[in-house]
Amino acid sequence: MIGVGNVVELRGVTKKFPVRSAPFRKAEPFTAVSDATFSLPRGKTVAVVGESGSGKSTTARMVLKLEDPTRGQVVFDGVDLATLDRRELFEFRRRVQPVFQNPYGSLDARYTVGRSIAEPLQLHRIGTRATQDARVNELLDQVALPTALASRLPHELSGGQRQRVAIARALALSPELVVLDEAVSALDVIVQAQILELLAELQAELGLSYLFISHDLAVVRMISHEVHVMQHGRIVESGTPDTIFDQPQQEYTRALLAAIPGSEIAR
Amino acid sequence: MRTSLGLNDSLAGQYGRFLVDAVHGDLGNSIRQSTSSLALVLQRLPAALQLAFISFAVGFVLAIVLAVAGELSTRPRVRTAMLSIATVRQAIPPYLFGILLILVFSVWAGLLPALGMNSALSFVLPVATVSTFEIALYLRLFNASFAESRRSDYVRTALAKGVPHSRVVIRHQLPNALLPIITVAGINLGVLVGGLVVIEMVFNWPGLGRLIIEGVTQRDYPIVQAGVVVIAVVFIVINFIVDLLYAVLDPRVRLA
Amino acid sequence: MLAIVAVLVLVVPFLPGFDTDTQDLGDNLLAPLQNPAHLLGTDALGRDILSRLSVAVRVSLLVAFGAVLISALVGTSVGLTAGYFRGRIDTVLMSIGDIQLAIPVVLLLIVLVATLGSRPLLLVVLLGLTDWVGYGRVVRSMVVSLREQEFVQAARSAGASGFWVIRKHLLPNVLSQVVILAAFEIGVVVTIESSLSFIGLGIQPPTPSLGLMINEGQRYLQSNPSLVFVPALAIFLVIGGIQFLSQNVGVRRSRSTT
Repeated sequence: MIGVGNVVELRGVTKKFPVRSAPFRKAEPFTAVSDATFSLPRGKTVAVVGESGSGKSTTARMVLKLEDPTRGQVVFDGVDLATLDRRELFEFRRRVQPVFQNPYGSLDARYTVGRSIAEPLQLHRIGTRATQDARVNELLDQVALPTALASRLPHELSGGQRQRVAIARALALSPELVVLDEAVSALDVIVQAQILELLAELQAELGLSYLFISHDLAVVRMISHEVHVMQHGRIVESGTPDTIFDQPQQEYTRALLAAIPGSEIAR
Repeated sequence: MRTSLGLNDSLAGQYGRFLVDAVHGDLGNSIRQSTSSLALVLQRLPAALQLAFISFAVGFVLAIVLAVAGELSTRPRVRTAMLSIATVRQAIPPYLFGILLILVFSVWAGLLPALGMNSALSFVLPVATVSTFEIALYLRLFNASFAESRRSDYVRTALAKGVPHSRVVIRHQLPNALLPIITVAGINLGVLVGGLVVIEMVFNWPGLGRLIIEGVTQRDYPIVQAGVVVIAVVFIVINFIVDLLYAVLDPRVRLA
Repeated sequence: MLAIVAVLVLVVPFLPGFDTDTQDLGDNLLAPLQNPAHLLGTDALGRDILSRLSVAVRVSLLVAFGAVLISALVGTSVGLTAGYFRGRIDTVLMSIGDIQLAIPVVLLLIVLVATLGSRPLLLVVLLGLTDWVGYGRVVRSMVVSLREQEFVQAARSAGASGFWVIRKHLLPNVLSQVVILAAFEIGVVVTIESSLSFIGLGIQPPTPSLGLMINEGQRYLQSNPSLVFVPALAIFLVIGGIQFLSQNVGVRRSRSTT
C-alpha cells in the first residue's frame, strides 16, 4: 500500500458558512471553498497557496475533518470521510496530524513540552508511562531538539523551537499525512529554511505525505511537488512549482509572485 | 371560599386562567384588601420609579463628570483615590449605607427626614444612598473603558495632531465608552426598579418593593404576582427605550 | 482587614465568657468597652455582642462560601458547555442567563424564600443558583476564544473528545479566572445574604446574623448607635477586605502577564 496511489482526494468539495445577519434580513451563506478537486499522491507534498481568506485553511480543516464539506467528498485512503463511524474516525485521527501556524497558540501554555508531545499517545493509550517518555525523547531527537527540553514550558522556547515541538507532537502517532497549515509562516526566514529542511528530511525518512498550506510562493517552491493556487475559494491554477513560477497563467498568480520579497530585484 | 378563589380547579386550569386574566389586565384581587392587586401595585409604581430614575440619573451623570475629571487630571493619584473611595462605597451594602445616613443626617444632625415620602427633602437620603452606589459602579466602568482607549491608536493620533486633551476625552473617548455602558445601564436600571426592595424598607418608602415584601410576609400572593408582572413590564419598556437610544447614538446601527 | 475578621471568627469563640444566647435583661443595651465581660456591649436582650458577632460572621462566611462554591460550579459548567459546543445549547443557556440577570436578585430570592422557606442549607442553594451567570459569561467568553486556539485543534485532530478537551485543556486554563471571580463574589453574596436577613427573610433567629443584628439595632439608633455600628463595621471588614484582596490579585496578575 505504502507509496501507492493517493492519500487524499478532494472531489468537488464546497464549504459554505452561515453568516450571522441582521434580523429580518435573509442571510446569504458565505462560500469559503467552492468545488475544489485535487489529489495528494502518497509520499509527496502538495501545496495550496492563496491570500488570506482564499479558503486554503478551510480546505486544510476539511482534510483534518475539523470541518465537514457542504458538498463533495474528502476521500482518505479510498474512504469518504463523511462515512466514518466513531471508531473509524478515531483511527483516522491517528493517521492524519496537523501542524498549525502560530507557534504561540499551538501548545497549551500550561503543558510541558514533553506532556504536549505525549498527549496524542495518551489519547490513543499507546504504551506505558515509561515507553511514552522514551518516545518523547526519540521524537525530540527526530526534530533536532535536546531531550532536556521535555520538562520546559512553551514560553521558555523560541518560535522555531516551538514549531519543532509541534512537529514532534504531530509525528507522535506515526501518521501518514501531515497537514501543515502555514506551518512556517510566523517564523523568520532563516528558521523557516531550517524547518523546511527538517520537513524534507522527515518526509524522506518516514515516507510522509504533506498537505502544505501557505500564502508564500517562495516557501512553496522549496518544498512542494505540486501547487494549487486558490482565490476566493476556487482553485484557479495548478501545476508543478516550476511551471507556476515560470509561466504563471493567472493575473492573481503573478500578483502572488510579485509579493515575494526581493522578487523585483531578481527579475 | 375555595370556590370563589377557584382553588378547586386543577393547577394547570388555575394557571391558564391566570394567563387569560393577565392579558386582560386582571391580575386578581388582593386577598387581604379585596381590591384589584394591579391597582394596588400601580398606585405604588410612581414612588418606586421616581426613586429609581432620580438615583440613576444623579449617579450616572456624576459618574461621567468624575470619570472625565479623573481622566483629565494630570495626577494619576486622583483616579486611584476615586477608585478606592468607590471600592469602599461598594463594600457597604446599600441598606446599611442608608441606615448610616439616617443616623448622621436625621438622628444626629436633625437636618433631613428619614422616613416616608412627604416632601422633596424626603428624596435626599434615599437618593444619596442609591446614587452613590450607582456612581461607584459606573465610575468603575467608565474608568476601565478610558484606561483602554487611553493607549489606543486613535487617541494617540488625535493627541499627536495637537487636539487638546479635554477635547479628545470628551469627543472621542467618552462617546466610545458610552455605547457599551448604556447597554449595561439599561439592564441595571430595569433591575434597580425591582431591586430597591431593601432600600424601600429602610426608608419606609411607599414603593413597589415594600408592597411585594408585605405581600410575601402576609401570604398575599396576588400582590406578589402583580408586582412581579409590573416590574417585568417596566424592565422590557426600559430595554426597548435603550435599544432605540442605541440606534440614535451608534452610527453603525440604523433602523431600517 | 481580613486578619481582624479571622481573629473574630477563629479566636473569639475560645475566649472566656463566649456566649451567644444567655439573656441578661438587667445588663441589656450596654455600650461597648464599659463592662470587661461584654467587650462590645450587649443587645436589647442583654446578649453578648462580641460573641454574637463572631458567630454571625462565621455564619455569613459559611453561607457565602457554600453559595459561591455552587454558583462557581454551575456557572463554570454552563460556560464550558456553552462555549465549547456553541450552537443551540449555547443560545439556550445564555438566554437563560440573560433572563436571570434581568431579574433583581434580591426580589427573586424574596419570592423563592417566601415559597420554599429559609432553612440555612436551602438558602445556600438558592443564593448559589441565582449567582452563576457571571461565571457562565466569563468562562464562556474565554472558552470561545480558547477553543479556536491551535492546541485545542491539535488535540481534536489527535482524536480528543469534547470531554477530554474540556477537562484537560479548557478547565485548567479558565480556573484561575474563576477563582478570582469567586473571591470577589463572596463579598457580593455576603451583601445579598445580609440584605435578606435584614428584612427577616434570610438567616432566622435565634441564629445570629449580621443583617438581623442591624435590623434589631436600627430601633435603638438614637440611644445606642453602636448596636448598628458594630455589625456594620464587621460587614465592611468582610466585604471590603475581600474586594481589596481580589482587586490586588487581579492587578498583580494583569501586570505579570503583560
